[in-house]
Amino acid sequence: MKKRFGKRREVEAVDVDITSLLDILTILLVFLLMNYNASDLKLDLTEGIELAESESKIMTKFAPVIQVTKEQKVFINNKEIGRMPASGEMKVLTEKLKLEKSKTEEINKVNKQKLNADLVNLIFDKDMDYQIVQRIMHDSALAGYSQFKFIVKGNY
Amino acid sequence: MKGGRKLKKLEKLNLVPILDSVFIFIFFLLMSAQFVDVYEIGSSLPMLKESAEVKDTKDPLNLTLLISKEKIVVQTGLRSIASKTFKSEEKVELKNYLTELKRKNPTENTMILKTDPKVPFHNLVAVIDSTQNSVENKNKLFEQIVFDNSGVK
Repeated sequence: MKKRFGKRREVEAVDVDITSLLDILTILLVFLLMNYNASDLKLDLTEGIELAESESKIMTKFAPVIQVTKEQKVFINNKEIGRMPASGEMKVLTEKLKLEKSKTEEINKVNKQKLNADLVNLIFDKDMDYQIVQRIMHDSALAGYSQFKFIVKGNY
Repeated sequence: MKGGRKLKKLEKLNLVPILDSVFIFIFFLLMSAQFVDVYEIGSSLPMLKESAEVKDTKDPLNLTLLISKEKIVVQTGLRSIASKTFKSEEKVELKNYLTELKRKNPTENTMILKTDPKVPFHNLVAVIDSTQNSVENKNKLFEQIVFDNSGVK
C-alpha cells in the first residue's frame, strides 16, 4: 500500500520571553555567591545545638568535629559516642580521638597537602557550662590534640 | 529623496550556552551552600620548650582574665600584680582598657583565661570577642589565648 504523505505545515518557532527567568537566575546567583563559604569544613549541626554568636571572621578549617548537645551527648564527626560522665574523663572520647588522629597522620604520609593533625573543632551549645568545655578540651589534649577551635556563628 | 534605509534585522543572541552554565553554577552553589555563617575562635595549649634562661629586665605583661558570671577581673604583671574589675556587661569598657594595654605593650599578644566552671559558653565567647580587636577594629589585640583550667571562685 502506498503511504500518502500530506504536506506538512511549517510550524513557526514560538518566541519564549525568558527575561523574567534570567532575572530570577541572576538574583539567585548573586544570593548564593554572597552566601558562599569557601571553608573546607562542611558542618552538619546536631539537632538542638544553638551556636554562640561571635564577631570572629576566621574561616573554619578541616579537622575532626566534636559536638556536645544541651543533654551532654557527645558526637564525633556526627556519630554519637555517648553521654558525658558525671565526673572524670570520658575514655571513649579520648580513644576515638586517638583513632582520628592516627587516620589524619596516615593521610598525611600519603598526601602532599598536609592536614593539621593537632587541630580539633569544638561545637558547644551556647548555654553549656564552661566545666564541660574544659573537660572536653582536657580529654582531647589526652588524645594528642593541642589546638582547639570553637565553632561560632557570625553575628554581623 | 526616495529610498529609505534598509533596516538591519537584529540577530537574536543565543543564550542557551550561558543559561546552561548558569544552571550548572547554581546547582554547584546550592550543593555547597552553608546557610549558617560559621567561624572559629582559636586557642592552643601552652607549649613547653627548653631554652636558656633569659632574665627579663621588664616585668612581663602576663595578662590574665578571671571570668565569672558577674564580673571580669583583668590582672597584669608578674612581680607586681595590678588588677581592674569590670561587670560582665561592661564589654565596651573592657575593650577600651585592653586597647590601651595593647598600645602600651605592642609586642604582647598572649592572654590567659581563668574561667569559672559555671560560666555559660556564650559569655566566654563574648569576652574573647572583646579581647580580639581594638576599638576601631583596626588592630588585633591579644590573639593567643591560653586556658588556665584551675578556674576561679
